[in-house]
Amino acid sequence: MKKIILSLLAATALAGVTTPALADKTDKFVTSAYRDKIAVARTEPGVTEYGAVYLDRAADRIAKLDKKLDNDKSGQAEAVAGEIDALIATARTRARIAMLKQDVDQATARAAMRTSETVAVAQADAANSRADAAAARNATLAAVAEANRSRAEMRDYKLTQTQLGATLVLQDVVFATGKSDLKAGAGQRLQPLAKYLQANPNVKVQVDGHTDSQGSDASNRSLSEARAQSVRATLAQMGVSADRITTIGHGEAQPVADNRIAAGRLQNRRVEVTLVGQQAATFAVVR
Amino acid sequence: MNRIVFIGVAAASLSALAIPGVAIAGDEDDARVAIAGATAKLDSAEKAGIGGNAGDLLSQSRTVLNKANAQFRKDEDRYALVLAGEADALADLATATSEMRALESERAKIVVN
Repeated sequence: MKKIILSLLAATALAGVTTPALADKTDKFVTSAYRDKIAVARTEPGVTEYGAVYLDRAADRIAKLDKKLDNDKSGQAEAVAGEIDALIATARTRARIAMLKQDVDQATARAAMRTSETVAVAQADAANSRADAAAARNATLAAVAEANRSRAEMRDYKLTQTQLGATLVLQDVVFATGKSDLKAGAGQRLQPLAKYLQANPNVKVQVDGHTDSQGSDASNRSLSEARAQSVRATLAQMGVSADRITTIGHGEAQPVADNRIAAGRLQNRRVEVTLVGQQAATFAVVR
Repeated sequence: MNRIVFIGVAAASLSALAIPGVAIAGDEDDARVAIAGATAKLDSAEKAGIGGNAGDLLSQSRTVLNKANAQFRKDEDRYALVLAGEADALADLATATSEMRALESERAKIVVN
């Protein structure tokens, strides 16, 4: 009996000594593995910076894990291990969040820059378009104003409506008697007409020369043609293309007054300038 | 001699059984505080709508917290305490994970646009 008791006691003592020793070895392996996990996490980018508080808590729980593993009857060590795992994962997630925030900020800034560039380009395009439109409008207005001004300057001419167009009459006072050259200074009278023709490049002109009945028919025709040519040359010198101007010398064939009296002959000696296809009334409106 | 040995063995066995069973007064308070802390954290996370992005972790945390409450009711205060700690850590992880997933989604949208 004594022997049996002693054997049992010895076996119990042996078990008491060896089992904790084996368990201790396993516990150390487990806790060491968790320490390594934490150490590895600390080396990862951003984890120490943004997840230190969680890693510190996890490291703190190692001692608790050690204690629970020593005397774990209810699986408490598993709960502690779960807590440590969650803490390490949270530390890593916090690091990831910090990096994502930087990414989002940079992406937002890039997007904002792209947007502002697009807006700036669109604004510049719009400004250019507005400037172009304004320039075109101003050019149109200027052209219209110039056309109106040149018409207004025609007010001194007495334009009459003929079948051909709007006709003005230059009496022989602009020519020396029997000559076709314009008198000195007489060219000034043609200045408004030249300006009008420059502002209205589509308007064509016909210049008709007329004389009274004195002198031979041939010389009168020649003189009237020469005077018409003289007007054409003067207009050409003032910048009006000669191609737009046709000339005809009628001589004494188309009198407008009685050649038997001086006043009538004065009226018959004339050069008529016709703005082909134009309405005399429109110049009257301008006036 | 035998009697002395028996008495020694009996006393050792009795103490081994009795000592862990004696609840230390502070354990209950610690467990109660830990459970309350984890519950508050979890409730607040749920109210913040974290479930949409990290529902799996939130539900895991809720399960562990329920286990902690169950152990607390059984007066297993130390077990309840460590379970509450795990539930708390899981609630933290759920919050962080939700934040991370929201940022990933935001970044994807910005990159696409």
